[in-house]
Order: sequence, then structure tokens, then C-alpha cells
Amino acid sequence: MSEIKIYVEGLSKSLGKKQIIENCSFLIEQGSIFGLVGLNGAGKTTLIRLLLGLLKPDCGKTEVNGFIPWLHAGEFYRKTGVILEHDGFAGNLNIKDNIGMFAAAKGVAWRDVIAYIKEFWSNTFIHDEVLSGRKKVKYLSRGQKVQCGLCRAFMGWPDVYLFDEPTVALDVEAYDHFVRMCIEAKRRGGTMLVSSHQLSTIEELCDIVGILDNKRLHLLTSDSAAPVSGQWEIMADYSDDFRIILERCSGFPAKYADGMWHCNINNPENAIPEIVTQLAAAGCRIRQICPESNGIREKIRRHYETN
Amino acid sequence: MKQIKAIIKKEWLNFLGSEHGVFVVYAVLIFAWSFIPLTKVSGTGQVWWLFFSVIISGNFANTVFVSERLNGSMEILLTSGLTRNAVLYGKILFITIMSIFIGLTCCCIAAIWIDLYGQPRMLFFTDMASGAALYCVGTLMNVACSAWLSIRLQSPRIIPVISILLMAVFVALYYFLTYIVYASGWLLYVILGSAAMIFFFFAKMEFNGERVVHPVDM
Repeated sequence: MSEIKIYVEGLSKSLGKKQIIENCSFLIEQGSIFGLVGLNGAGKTTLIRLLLGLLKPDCGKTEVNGFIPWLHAGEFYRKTGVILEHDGFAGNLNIKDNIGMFAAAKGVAWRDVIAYIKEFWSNTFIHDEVLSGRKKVKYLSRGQKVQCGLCRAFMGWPDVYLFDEPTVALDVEAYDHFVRMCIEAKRRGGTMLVSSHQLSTIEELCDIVGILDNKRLHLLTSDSAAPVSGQWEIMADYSDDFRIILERCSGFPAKYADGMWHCNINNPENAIPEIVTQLAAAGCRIRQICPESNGIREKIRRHYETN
Repeated sequence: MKQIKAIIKKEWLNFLGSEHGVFVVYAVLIFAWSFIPLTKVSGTGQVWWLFFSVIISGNFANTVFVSERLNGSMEILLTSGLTRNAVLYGKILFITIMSIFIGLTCCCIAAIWIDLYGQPRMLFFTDMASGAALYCVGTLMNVACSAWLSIRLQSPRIIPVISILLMAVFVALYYFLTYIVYASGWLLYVILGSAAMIFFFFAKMEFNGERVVHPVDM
């Protein structure tokens, strides 16, 4: 079993008279990426600030990478990559000096920073700016500032990453680069908590998803391991014979729409191989099979409907 | 110590990267204030140094503490790996060093005027030295106060006004005490020094609290 890197138990926090988080409990194992979603004002940023020790919990236990965040240990922050709402760079300094300051704070040697930039940021403007540029941060676009923030967060490959809306203002290339960096960090054993409204980001990166709603955190089950019972989509040719096969194997009526079959399958572990074998034997070309409600968007919608 | 140096370096580079107009304003201020010792009026000459310290250190505090709070970069700084005390000490030290450097530069220029146009009604060099010392104590009080209020207040933009007000209150208190009982000139140093220590204690408390990430009025 992997080491638990983020442990939260019974966490509650109110700001003023308003209760923001109530009795929130979850844990994240090493090498996992936890997606945090929720409506505006649900308390995602507050939860991240609590995990960073910027806010003090009213009650409950919080442990991140073996540290109690509220104690503000320098070592804790040196082992944590952070993206918050603001980039945090000094506008009058150029990128090199800004990155240099944060490298010194994290205890990363400058030669290691250069090696890191050359290896992982060589296709970005950051590479040129750090090596030779003089451009002040205040003249960068918002997306460029976010990229600089990501460069800072991954610098030194910390153990834990706490990202609040890390993909805001990123262009397509920068977004892809961010995803690659997350995968690299995960490969190196990093544990991540990513809060985002971009559900595609959450879907693409996260192993576990938690939805913060009505002051509480609800964990959404993962689809990645076993196939789930319910509606399935089978992108395949149309024929009445194929319909009969589908209905016989699944035990439910099958409907053909938008170039695919929609069918309820209760026992996918056994039923799917059977369906594939029989359809293929009947001459059906199958292009894709997947659960219909696989998307995180659908799950979140369902969550709000049921709550 | 390394962490404090990192903060001082960051603030120094940030200051150097300021618009040219900022340096011109400081130059004009230094030049204009250097004539103050030439107009010794009823013993208030030295007190003018206090208000000069409010203007200079208040301006630095505005960039170092207030703007970081306003633009939200303080929380990133506090999660960067530097200890909170290092951030506070580094910033306070930077403002103090810069303010004292500017104050002493002003004193030196003032000394030149005294040397060139020395007349009996003007201040002596000993007065200049005590004025400079008063300037340093005033700077310390103002920096500590700004550090505390930058976190404590929801509208940190009003800090320069509060600083001037506070300085006026302390000076008035000193003159009041001098008026009702005999009080040595050192009393003003004691009042300002004590206030600096109290404000520094409050600033340290606030920097280690959670108000540092509370929303502020833009």
C-alpha cells in the first residue's frame, strides 16, 4: 500500500459567521492525483489554503506530507509545489530573478534550476527568458505568468502539489505541457491535489475526484478500474440482427442513435466480451465500447440532481 | 539568515526595477528636506526629521508590504519555503536600511548647507546628529507599524495617513509631557522606541496568523 501523503479528518472551517467546510475527511496516497471540483464559492480555495497552513482549521486533523500545515514549517513548504489564484511574482523583476528567488527559498541550487529548465521547459518562452532574457514579469501576459507559476511549482520536484485552478489562461500548447509535467511529477512519486472548473482537466489527470458541495466533500467513484454497470455506448454498424444479439446478451432493449448502440448492461465483465464475440461473428464492425455516463460532467450533474 | 538575504535581494531588485520617476521623486525629496535644518524654528527643527522618516519609510512600506497584500503575492511568498519570520524580518530590514540610507544622505547634504552658509541661527552638527538618530527611531517605529497594519487592516491603502497621524500623536504626547512636567529630549526616543517594539510584536503575531490571506479592499 502506498504512503498516505495528504490526510484530512473531520476538518471544519468557518470564515466569520459563515461555515465554509464541515467535517471534511479524505486521504490521498502517494502518486495519486486528486481532483477537487465544486461550484463557485463551494470552498475549494479555502480547503487548499487549509492544506497549506494559510488558514487555521476550527477543528479536525490535517497532515500533509507528514507535516501539520498550520505549524508553518519551512521544510513543509520546500517540499510542496503551489499554484494559487495570484502568480506571486515581483512585477519589477525579470523571470530569471523571480525564479532565482523562489529557488533560493526552496533550497534548489541554480545549476539544478538551469538543468530543470533546459530539460522540461526548452520549448517555452521561459527557457529563453531564464537563460538570457531581461523581460520584467509585469510585461508578461496572464497565461505566461501562469506558466511561470507552474515552472516554479514543479521546480525541485516536490513531494506534494496543491494547485488551485492551474490551467486558467493557458493556451493549448501550455495546457498540454502542464499535463505532461503532471504526469512526470506523478511518475516521480508526487502527490497532487488539483482544483479546477475545467472538467476535461480533472477527467484527464485525476485518479480520484472529490466534489465539494454544501460544505462537505463527496468522493466520486473512479471508473478507471472495473467496468461499471449501467448504460453503455457501442459504436458499431446498424442491423436488426445486431439488435437481437445485443438484447439477448444484455437482457435489455437496445436503441440505435447517432451511429451507436445504447444499451443497459448489468454485468459488463461477462456481457461485454460475449457481445463483442457475437457481434464480430455476425460481421459487425465495432469501433468503440464505453460506458455512456463515463464523463465526470455526467457524474457531477447526477450528484447535484440527487443532492 | 540566508532566507532574510533572499528577501532583501528580492526587494532591492524590485526597487531598482521601479520606474525612473520614483528615483526622481526620492532625489527631489532628499534635496528639498536637506534645507530644513537651515530654518531652525523654536526647537522644532529635529521633529521635521520624524515626518521625513514617515514619508520615506511609508513609501517603501507601501511597495514592500501593502502592494504585496493587495495583489495577493504575499500568500505565495509565505508558501515559498521561506519562514514567515524571515519574510517579516527581511522586509522590515530592507525598508529600514533604505530609509536610513536616504535619511543619512539627506543629513549629509544638510551638513554641506550648514558648512557653506553657517550662521548662528542655524542648527549645529550635534543637533544634526540627534536629528539623524531621531530619524532612525522614527523609521523603526513607522516600519513596524506599517508591517502590522498591512496585515491587520482591511484597507491597507490608508496606512500612510495612519502613519502620519500616529507620528503626530506621539510628537504631541511628547510636547504635552514636556509642557506639564519637565521631560528630557530622550523621552521622545523612548516613546518612539517603545512603540516600535510593540508594533513589531503585533506584526510578528499577524504574520503568523491567518489574517494575512483575508480579502482586502482594493
